[in-house]
Amino acid sequence: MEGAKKMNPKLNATVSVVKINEHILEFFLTNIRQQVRIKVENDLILEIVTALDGKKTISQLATDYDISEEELTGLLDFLRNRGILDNVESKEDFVCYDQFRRVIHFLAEYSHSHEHLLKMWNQIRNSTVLIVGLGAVGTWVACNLAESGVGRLILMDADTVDSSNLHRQFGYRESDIGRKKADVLAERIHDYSDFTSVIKEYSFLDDSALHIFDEMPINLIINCADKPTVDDTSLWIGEYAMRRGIPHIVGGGYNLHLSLIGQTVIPGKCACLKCFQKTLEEENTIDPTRVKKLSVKNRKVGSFGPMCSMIASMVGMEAIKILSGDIQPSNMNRRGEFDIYSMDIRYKNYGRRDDCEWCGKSGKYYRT
Amino acid sequence: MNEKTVMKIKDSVDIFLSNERYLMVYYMNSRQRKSFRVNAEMVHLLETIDGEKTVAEITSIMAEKWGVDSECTSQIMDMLQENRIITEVIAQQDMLSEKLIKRYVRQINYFSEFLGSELEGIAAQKKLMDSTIIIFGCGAVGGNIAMQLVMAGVCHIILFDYGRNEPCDASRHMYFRKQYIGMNKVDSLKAELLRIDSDADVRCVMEWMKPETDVETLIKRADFVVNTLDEPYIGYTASKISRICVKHRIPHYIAGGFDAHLASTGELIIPYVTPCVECYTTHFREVLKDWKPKKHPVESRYTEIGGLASMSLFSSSYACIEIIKYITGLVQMEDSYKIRGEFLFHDMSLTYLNVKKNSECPICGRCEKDEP
Repeated sequence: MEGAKKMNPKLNATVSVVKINEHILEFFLTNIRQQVRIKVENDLILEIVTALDGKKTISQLATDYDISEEELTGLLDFLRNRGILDNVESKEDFVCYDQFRRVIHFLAEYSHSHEHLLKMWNQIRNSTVLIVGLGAVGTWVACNLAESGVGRLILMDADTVDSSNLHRQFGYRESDIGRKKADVLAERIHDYSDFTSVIKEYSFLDDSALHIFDEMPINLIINCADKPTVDDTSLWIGEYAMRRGIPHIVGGGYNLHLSLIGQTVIPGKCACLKCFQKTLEEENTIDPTRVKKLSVKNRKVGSFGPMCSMIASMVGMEAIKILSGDIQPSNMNRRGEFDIYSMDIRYKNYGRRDDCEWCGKSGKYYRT
Repeated sequence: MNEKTVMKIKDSVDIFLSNERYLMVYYMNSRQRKSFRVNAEMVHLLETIDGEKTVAEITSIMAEKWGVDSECTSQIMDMLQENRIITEVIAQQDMLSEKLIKRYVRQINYFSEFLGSELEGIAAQKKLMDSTIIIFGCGAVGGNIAMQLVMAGVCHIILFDYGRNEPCDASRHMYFRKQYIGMNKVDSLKAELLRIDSDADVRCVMEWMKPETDVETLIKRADFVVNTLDEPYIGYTASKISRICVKHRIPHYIAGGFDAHLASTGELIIPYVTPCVECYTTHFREVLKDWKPKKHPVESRYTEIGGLASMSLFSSSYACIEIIKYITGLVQMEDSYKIRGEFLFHDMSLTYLNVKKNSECPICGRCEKDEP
């Protein structure tokens, strides 16, 4: 609190103060649309809060409202701890404040203090995210994260840009057809600013491809690859990430399963991909002696850009939560489906399993 | 069904046979499923429809090999087509060139699942390409919508904005490039759209939305109108645009994703069908009558508002799904339109408001749907 105390108290610019009735005062955090309500006896707190313009010192305020500095500090600490007071000042403490002010002020509603906000921001800007697969989800996620201040991105894809990609994959131009996706996207990211550094890896995912990153610190892996199948890529990434203890997100929006909103896995804290696989297999048990799949030859698969980018947007939000280090991700122990007809999201919960070969009590990557 | 037509199982369905008796059909793009009770002949028929044989060939195989008469085969094939399990292989069409088909093939396949045949999917793509869409506001959401629509194939776009690109746009606008700093937003966004599709026809209008600004002439040129303009403020621009659109019966989308509603869905407005902006305003005037924020003490607060690129991307993607569904007729939006919703960063939930079309609405209430 040392640093924060030097600054004059200021109401967070994104917070609305509403008197609900004689006894209830609401603070509405407009970025995250959450409210904090307190019981009040009179309008004193309302008057103090709406005077917090950042120009008056605590002792001035205490004199103006005829209360003790100690009492006032208690109130201000309560508000600060809930993101209701401004935790950004002094702005100079933030690297590249001007470029990223929107991101910093967004995070501020989750901060308990100036130092806490600085810590979240520094974690995001110093983090490394591996994005596997630069298609209809991966391209959008990569650019979202660069724009939100992620310091380093590893872009992994061996593919080249094809004209049939342009309707749904972001950042590729007609003139890029035939070039490596990783090269084109890296250039696109540098065009935002020089803030984010990019490492390019021109290979496709298989069961051992990720070992080239063994020596590299990675804070988050996002699976946006669906070849050969989403199940394969998710399990390869899942196992690698579990072994190293790296948070990972199953992107979703895949071929043949466009509407999937994938799960978030924080190793040791929630169901891992093996837990999901086991439960999903039990649910979908099909007796192969009784059920057969009729083959469809030369299948052409449909895809829809805005559906994929919507799912990419959710991955982008989950990623920021994880990278901040202090905002609870939403999609642990669950995955969702977006229904294009009803435009609703349905989530289904999956629990961590004791019998899991990866994260169960006798699993090979067990941790608490 | 024409005798010479070649039929195939649709690319987007998975078919399972259970106990040789029940057919389960999964429609992968829309995640729907249907099941049918079937006999052995039905299975033989499905195995015969291979994307190479004509209806006549299939009918004769069914008759000779499995003893099914041609009337019966034809009836069942109609039923399979109605249920979007099979579709015709297109020999020839002159709506789109080979090059455009190749570019949009995946999206056409997606459309076809909703519409029935590949030909209808191509027609839907063509409809999208022929539409003229005006986009008010070239900020984070407006810029994304413009790019996403051009990516999807919209060729005629009119951009309306007065602003210039600033350094801090680097954390908000997905179309941003550092070389755009200082440029007019309409010009930089146009440059970006042309990189995506060099054949796109993009017109720029650099103006403020003021009370005297004539947007009616512009709006009348468009098939569809999108509003993302939050200056002077979103309520004003939305109201002005919606009034004109209702008058001329032009469908429009009031996009979400502005301050305090960073990932809201926005809403599709079909004049005289859905609530219009005035209906929403009336609704909020009533429900928020006791929710009055106090004057904020911080003078500089407008430069201290938060936002994330991913949240704008949610709002723009949602808008594009609805706009494309409407224009291409994938879904009958007159029956299944959505009211504005909010997606929350906090818990990734999506909830919708309950706003009804106001029959007393001064803008859209008096006129019956079929009156001029």
